Amino acid sequence: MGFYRAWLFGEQAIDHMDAMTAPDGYPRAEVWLPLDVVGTLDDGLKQWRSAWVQCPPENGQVWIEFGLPTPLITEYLGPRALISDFGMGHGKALRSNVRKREGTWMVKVPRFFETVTKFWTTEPQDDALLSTTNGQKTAATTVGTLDVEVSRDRFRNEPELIVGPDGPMVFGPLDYRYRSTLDWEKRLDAALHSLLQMPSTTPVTTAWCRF
Amino acid sequence: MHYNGWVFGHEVDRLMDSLTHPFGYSQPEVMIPMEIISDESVELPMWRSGWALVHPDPSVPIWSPDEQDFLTITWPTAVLRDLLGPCALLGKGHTESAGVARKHVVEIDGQWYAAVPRFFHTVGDHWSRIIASDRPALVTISGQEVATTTVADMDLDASFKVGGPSLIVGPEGPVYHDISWGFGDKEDSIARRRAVTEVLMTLPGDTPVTAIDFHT
Repeated sequence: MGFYRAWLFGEQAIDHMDAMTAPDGYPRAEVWLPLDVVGTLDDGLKQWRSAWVQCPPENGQVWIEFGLPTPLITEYLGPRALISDFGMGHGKALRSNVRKREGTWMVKVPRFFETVTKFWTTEPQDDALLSTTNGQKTAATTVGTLDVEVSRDRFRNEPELIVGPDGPMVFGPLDYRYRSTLDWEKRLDAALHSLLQMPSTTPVTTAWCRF
Repeated sequence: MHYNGWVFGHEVDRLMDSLTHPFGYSQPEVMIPMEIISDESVELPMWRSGWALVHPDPSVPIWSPDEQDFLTITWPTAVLRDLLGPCALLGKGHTESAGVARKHVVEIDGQWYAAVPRFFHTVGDHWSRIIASDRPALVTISGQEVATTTVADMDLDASFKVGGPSLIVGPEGPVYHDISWGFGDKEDSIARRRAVTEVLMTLPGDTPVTAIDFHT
């Protein structure tokens, strides 16, 4: 079992990592979304319709698997939601997190819809560390002292996940978002460029996330 | 990536064509109702299908300029299994999704249908009977390494040793597919592969067995 690396910019990113973690497979449910939605007509066909299945009990737990249209997920969770570009986001919730609220069936989902790991730590799990402008290797530094080009050694040290103050900005394992290496590089470039505009004292921390 | 496969029976071309998607396009072969629900009379039905229509925006870099409108459609896995049979390539989850071109979604007698590949998913973008010389395929009981043989002439243990297949297709369709390269439970995968092959080895002795290469 290996680890992949995340770079966390700012204090708030630590809290976001907890929101994207599912210890023992149980994600922290935080935001209510409507479960039963149907879109308007588009070329004779409804634009979307949500899907779900109430699964048979498993170890005493009943789960519901569901698929929701991505525009609805983005409307409720914002642009940092971890969802595909292919129209639907798929998730899984305990039956106790599906309730009728004011006449509408709702499902409670993680803050960014998907989770990225079951466990993460800032304790180094390998030697892929950040590099500072004075040439040191470290697990944590600041925006002002981060040597981003050296830290981002493409062949052995590139982060799979970048988290900023508002949430995840790029996430490699959700690879269906990235049609090519070039597209991934562009997204990574754009995310880092905007985060490096933050105040120079902003902490940058490496997190190791279990696959 | 290239993988080995074995196909039992005479319908190699037909089955393998159903299992591949050349240039990204799979063959739409089976019409599946899109708008299904378990029981509308209960407050929260046990299941229902759903979809989202996507109009790719060519100005967004992830889409190629010729990308067509498509739907991502999600069905209950159990319903797909009933409709497509035991050989359908379906996951372990209780929902299963596929992308279907808008032109393959039609309304018939007031009911919307989506045309999907015969086994729901495909295994690769092309296939061939040509096996690279450094990747042996099948071994006969006389010890020869060959690209085609018959059930009666095949040495199963020796064939497994020289080139364990990632795909095994019987006369009705795929019965084993695993390209995980040892991720997951490798022992379980090897045991499953042997179990399904042993069933196919009870087919008539003159049933052809063909080694194929498929690419993902």
